[in-house]
Amino acid sequence: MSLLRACLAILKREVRLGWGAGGGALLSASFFAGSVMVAPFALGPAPDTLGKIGPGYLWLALTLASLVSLERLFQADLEDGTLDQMLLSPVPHSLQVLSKIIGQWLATAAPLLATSPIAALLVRVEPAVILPLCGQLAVGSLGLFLIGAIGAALGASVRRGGLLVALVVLPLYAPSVIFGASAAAALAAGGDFFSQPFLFLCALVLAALAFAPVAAAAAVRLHVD
Amino acid sequence: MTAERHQQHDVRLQIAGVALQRGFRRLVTDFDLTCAPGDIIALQGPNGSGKTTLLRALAGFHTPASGRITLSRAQGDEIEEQGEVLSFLGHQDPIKAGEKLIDQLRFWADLCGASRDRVTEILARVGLTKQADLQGGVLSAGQRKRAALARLLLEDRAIWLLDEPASPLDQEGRALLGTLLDQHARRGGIILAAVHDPLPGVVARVLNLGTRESEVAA
Repeated sequence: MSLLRACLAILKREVRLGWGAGGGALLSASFFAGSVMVAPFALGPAPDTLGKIGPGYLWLALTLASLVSLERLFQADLEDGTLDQMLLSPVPHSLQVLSKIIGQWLATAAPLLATSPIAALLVRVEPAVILPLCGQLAVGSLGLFLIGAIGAALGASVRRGGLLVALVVLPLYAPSVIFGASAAAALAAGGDFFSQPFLFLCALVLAALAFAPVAAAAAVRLHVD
Repeated sequence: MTAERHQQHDVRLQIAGVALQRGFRRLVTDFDLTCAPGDIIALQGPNGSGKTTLLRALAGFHTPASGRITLSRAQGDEIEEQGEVLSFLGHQDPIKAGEKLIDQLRFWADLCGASRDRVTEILARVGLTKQADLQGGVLSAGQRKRAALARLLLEDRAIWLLDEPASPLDQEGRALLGTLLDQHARRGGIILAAVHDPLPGVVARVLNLGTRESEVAA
């Protein structure tokens, strides 16, 4: 099973490099934790206001935190010629890109999601809702990483292109954030985990899983010429 | 020595009427070349004459403005996927600073479907046994080039495209490069190298990609 072996190798390498020296896997989690930490200062610590805004604020923090690691997703490989070699591999390029995205998601989103229950406590989310809410954030974060990869691929050859990538990606994030935040609001109002907005979010993530790797692979190919 | 190592390569490369362009500048026009198994070709020419662009076009990274590049097996069937038969060694070395050298080579072995067992043996062949457990960031330019050569051996493809392979190597490294090139050509491999100095240790067909102006200047 050489295809599976190659994809797993890419995925594991992405995790290894992310956690290695200078990999920056914890940057997104730190950004997420930091932005949640300032929320009570900015919005006021009153439990009823904060509790109302809290679930939506977590989605905002997740969206912005997921932008942090995007810039380097393809840029490092483009600069050191790794991308050339990956194009020469017999493994389909979109599968390689998918493995890279999943690898980065595991390396950067996992610590972020691990901090999310504490973050939820900080913004006064009802304790009973915290774990289901974090589950929804986990599903949504995969969608954000997949969609973000398209922007990262487009901006891969731009020096200091992080802000450009953010500008490209944020409008594409809108549907996921809308459904994610509505699902969170439904949870906070005592609704089901599998509410209608959450099902829409799941559909979005599945669609991104199918299309984003192909689009990102095509975009990244443009820079190799 | 594995049985696989003794297997002969039988890939042919044919370039017909290729023109290469960068921006609005024509670098190469009507370039023809046929390579049979065992050919070693040194591409020479001043900076900016299109050596790297030609190699990148052969690897499929750059689309020629016109012309045709065909890879075929001895029996005559054409090869669609460049990656099946071709290795590329660019002037950048795909070495990650934060990963052990041996892990990087294992990664390349996984990606091209080569056996992981050969990694240690190949590292010994290119003289990097002591560096196997070092992080990529501490390797010198010459050691990085040796690591790239190790990747080439690991991939075991018929055609080697080399962009300035000898530049950062020391005397011993150049001798090693010569041996590797010679062994590859003897097995029926094709080597195309963009160089400024003659390739060490082998006799190569020299092709000049010089522009007309530079020929007058020379």
